[in-house]
Amino acid sequence: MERPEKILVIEDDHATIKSIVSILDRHDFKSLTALNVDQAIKHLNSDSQIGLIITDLSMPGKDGFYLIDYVKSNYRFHHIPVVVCSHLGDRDAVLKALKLGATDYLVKPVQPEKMLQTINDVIKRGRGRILVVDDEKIMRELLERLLQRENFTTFIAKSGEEAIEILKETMVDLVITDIAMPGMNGLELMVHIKDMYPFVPVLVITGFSGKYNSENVIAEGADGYIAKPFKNIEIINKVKSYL
Amino acid sequence: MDYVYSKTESNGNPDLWKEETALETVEGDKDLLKELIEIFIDDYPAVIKSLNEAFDSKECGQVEKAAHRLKGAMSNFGSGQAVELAQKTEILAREGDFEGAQKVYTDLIEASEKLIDDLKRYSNGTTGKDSCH
Repeated sequence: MERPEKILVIEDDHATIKSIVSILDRHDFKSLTALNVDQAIKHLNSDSQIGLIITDLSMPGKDGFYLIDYVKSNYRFHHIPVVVCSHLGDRDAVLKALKLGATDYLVKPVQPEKMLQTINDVIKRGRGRILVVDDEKIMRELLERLLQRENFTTFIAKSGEEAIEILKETMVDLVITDIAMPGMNGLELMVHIKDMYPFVPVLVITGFSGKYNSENVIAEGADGYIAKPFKNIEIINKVKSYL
Repeated sequence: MDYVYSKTESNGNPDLWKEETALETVEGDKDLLKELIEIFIDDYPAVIKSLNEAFDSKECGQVEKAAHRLKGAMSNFGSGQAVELAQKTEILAREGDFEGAQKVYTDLIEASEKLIDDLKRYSNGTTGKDSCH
């Protein structure tokens, strides 16, 4: 991911927002501020330079969870990473935010060094939450290892049904699925994903001589395919091209 | 005035807040810290008002939010008694223990007032203004 042109900071406490913005400014990050979620949504809709969001969770009116959900379920904004800012002891809230699609979190009072490191990590990592669906253990492990080596965050499902359960709780940026699986197959899963989360790209792994080849999976609605046998670098390049 | 506050001792009372932690959050910039203190002092009456209203409403959800807000505003200056009491109030309210939260309330207000006073003294001390005559 490129360095964000602007960072949107959402925080209802004036001193905290001043402190965060001053530090960002000092390190050459332009920022926009919002004291509540409604204001933040207005900024998002009027400023296309926003490339990263730092948000508080507990705020009067709509809270940070509402904002994360809004950003992650809107095709125009879902690619923008959200870093949540919360107090120690709000662990459950942070976990909830991460499940909703937040990329990372900061503990208040925000330490500048930690904040800058987190922003740089998020920039480096980009949109990196990938769900891998395969009934074969060896494939799951191979893909998991490959993706993790590239700093992607992986979620693993052994079946289409398990993938659906994971997606109910966790927002991801990309799904890689095998086709032939017992129970729900990869194409059925893809149709479900396209129905429920139309902006999440799906890459399908096509087999050596299966019923489906690369052309039919694209025709069925896949964003791309990975043909077996594949080279590791091909997978990584393919994945990166969709994120 | 019944106290004398010397500029050289203007490090704040560590029971109330932590200068070192507060300075870390502003990369050691004392002027910025002073600005944060001024913002906090300006916001303080509204934050306390919302806490009072929350207690008047007897709704734990409101108390929890208002205590959280106060905690957030104060924690920019490192944790001390007031932050701890605000957190205690927040947790009791979250657990639905209104009476428990109410019992902490007086101590919380007292500690918050002490914090405000100490921050004011610090702010005046570090800017070179005479705080007392």
